[in-house]
Amino acid sequence: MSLKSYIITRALLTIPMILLLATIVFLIVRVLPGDPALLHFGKTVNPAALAEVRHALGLDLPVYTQYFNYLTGLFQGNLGIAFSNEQPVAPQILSAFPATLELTICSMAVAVLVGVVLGVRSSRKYGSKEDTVIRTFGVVIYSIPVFFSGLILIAVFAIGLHWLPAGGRISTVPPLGGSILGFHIQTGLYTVDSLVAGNLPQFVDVLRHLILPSVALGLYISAVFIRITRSNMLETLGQEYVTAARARGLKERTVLYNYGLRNGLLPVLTIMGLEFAGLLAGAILTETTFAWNGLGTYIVTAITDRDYIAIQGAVVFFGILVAVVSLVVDILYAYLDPRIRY
Amino acid sequence: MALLVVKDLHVSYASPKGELRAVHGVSFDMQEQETLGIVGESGCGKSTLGLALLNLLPPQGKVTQGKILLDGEDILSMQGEKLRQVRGKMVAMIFQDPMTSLNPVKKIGDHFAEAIRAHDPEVTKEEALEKAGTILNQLGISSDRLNDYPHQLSGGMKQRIMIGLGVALDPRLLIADEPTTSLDVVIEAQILDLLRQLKDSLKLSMILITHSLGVVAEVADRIAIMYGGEIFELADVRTIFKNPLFPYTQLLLKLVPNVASKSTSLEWIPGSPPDLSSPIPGCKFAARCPYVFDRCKVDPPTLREVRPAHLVACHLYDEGAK
Repeated sequence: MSLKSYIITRALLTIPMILLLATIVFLIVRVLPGDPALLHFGKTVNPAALAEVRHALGLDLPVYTQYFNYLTGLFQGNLGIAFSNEQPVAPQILSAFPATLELTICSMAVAVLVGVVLGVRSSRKYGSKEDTVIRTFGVVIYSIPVFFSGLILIAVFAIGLHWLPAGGRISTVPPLGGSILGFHIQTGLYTVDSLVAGNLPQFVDVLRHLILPSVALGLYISAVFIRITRSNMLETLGQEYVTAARARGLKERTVLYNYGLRNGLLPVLTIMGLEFAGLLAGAILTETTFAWNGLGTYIVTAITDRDYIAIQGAVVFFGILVAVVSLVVDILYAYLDPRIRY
Repeated sequence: MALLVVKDLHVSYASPKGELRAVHGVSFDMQEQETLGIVGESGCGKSTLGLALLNLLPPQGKVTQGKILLDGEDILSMQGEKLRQVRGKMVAMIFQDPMTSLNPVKKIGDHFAEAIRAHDPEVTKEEALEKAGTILNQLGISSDRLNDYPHQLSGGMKQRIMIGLGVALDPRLLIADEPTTSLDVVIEAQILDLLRQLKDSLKLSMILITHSLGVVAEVADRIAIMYGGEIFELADVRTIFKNPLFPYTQLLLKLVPNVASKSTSLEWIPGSPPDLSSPIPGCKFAARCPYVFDRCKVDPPTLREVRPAHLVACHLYDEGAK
């Protein structure tokens, strides 16, 4: 099978995955006790009004019709109308998403950088004091919850040392679609937007806001990468092809990168895909700690409001996101490891 | 001058049970274009010896004593760039398992280009691939295979590729560590034939490490019999087969199954190889030797010439033994 047909097959497999996910989410919301329509009422419920609301929400229809309507809506990008503010859910999620994406990407960068560098170092110094220190570091940071390490980071670097801002994404929030100081929101990724606008001071400001939450979330996830990188590098460097490469007199750099890292980091890529889901979950806590207006904050608000439609929409959106990321990871994997394609 | 001189080589591994003496006082020398077979059972230290010759021991392994002189230069004192230039260019090595000896994410051609260019950076990748194609053709493999990944080749083909990689840089000495152990008999015969051809056409010196006397009989000029990390007998092939002196060698030769014999069971040597993590006072083979006598258990024999060009370490051949 060529790489191209592998990609097509793998991409097509994503569709049933997303369908299944959407179905499960739909069923869970229907199975949960309590009538969503009741949320529109206070302590007293007028049966006639309740029936009216149920009709308006489509809850009086048979379940399979509801399911069909829900799926049709999903394919049109319609995630329903939120109870709390009676606005469509999809645009709300899309406007909150860039903030989370920006945080997730930066955290992943921190996690991979710290994890791979320390993991490789640890495997190269196997059994030494340095190895023990790195492994202990990994266990310790993985056992501290993100909201706690986030608070400590804020206490030290924001409140104590005044080096970095304590929360938020930017010092002066520009209005949606508007511009402040030549800063125009297009993608919603403030780093990209400020760079496109050529507004360097604003870019630096955005970066400064990103550092603490990315470090809090990234370090937590990096523990997984330290472990995986270390054990895989140890295994790979013990392989006969590494000894054979040295026996051919290849440069140590070539042996380490083309033989060691190239093979040892393949499983790390898989973990990256899996941890992406973990990062999204972590983002919920991190965003709350750092007053970060993203999807995490959106979900927390939706849960507080018991807004079923918003929760359902956000969960489906997260699910699609994870499916897409794992698709990308698998394609990358096939590109990097020729054995996968056959 | 001898191509390779090994003098009183000792190699130990650090193990949880303490120091494991894998190679214990091994000495031999090799002439240009000679093929030396090193024969012994699993765990006798023959592979360790092979790795030590390239100064390529794993981190737990250490040469504790001795010298390895290649063309008069001590390999064990070499480091970094100098050692790298000897590996592959002067001494090449092929390994037991061709399935795991190639980088799974690199094409065959890249393996060749990498090796050739590591020793001569002025060669372009195209030139290196062209040379690789010629080598593959000599080995009976189509040069189209340069674009294949290792998993697309059979075991026999991979071992031929490994041999090709070994000779790509025209080394003086090729160390083959059990090159046919993981292959079936038909492929084994092909690979041995190939090694013999290369030895003649490239004027290679070769060390063939194996547990099979049948394999060395076909290729080697001289044979060293290893047991428990030491060489116990060293002589030319004919002498070893016609007139073995060391009891272990005699027993080994008896083990080769004979199709014509009426016996229905396979021969074996009672007992097991010595535990190398604890010191053994006398001869290492004493526990399994049918001719053992008192002196064997207390006094380790030394390798010496008992007949012209026939070296044995055994008290049976001492002056006035018994």
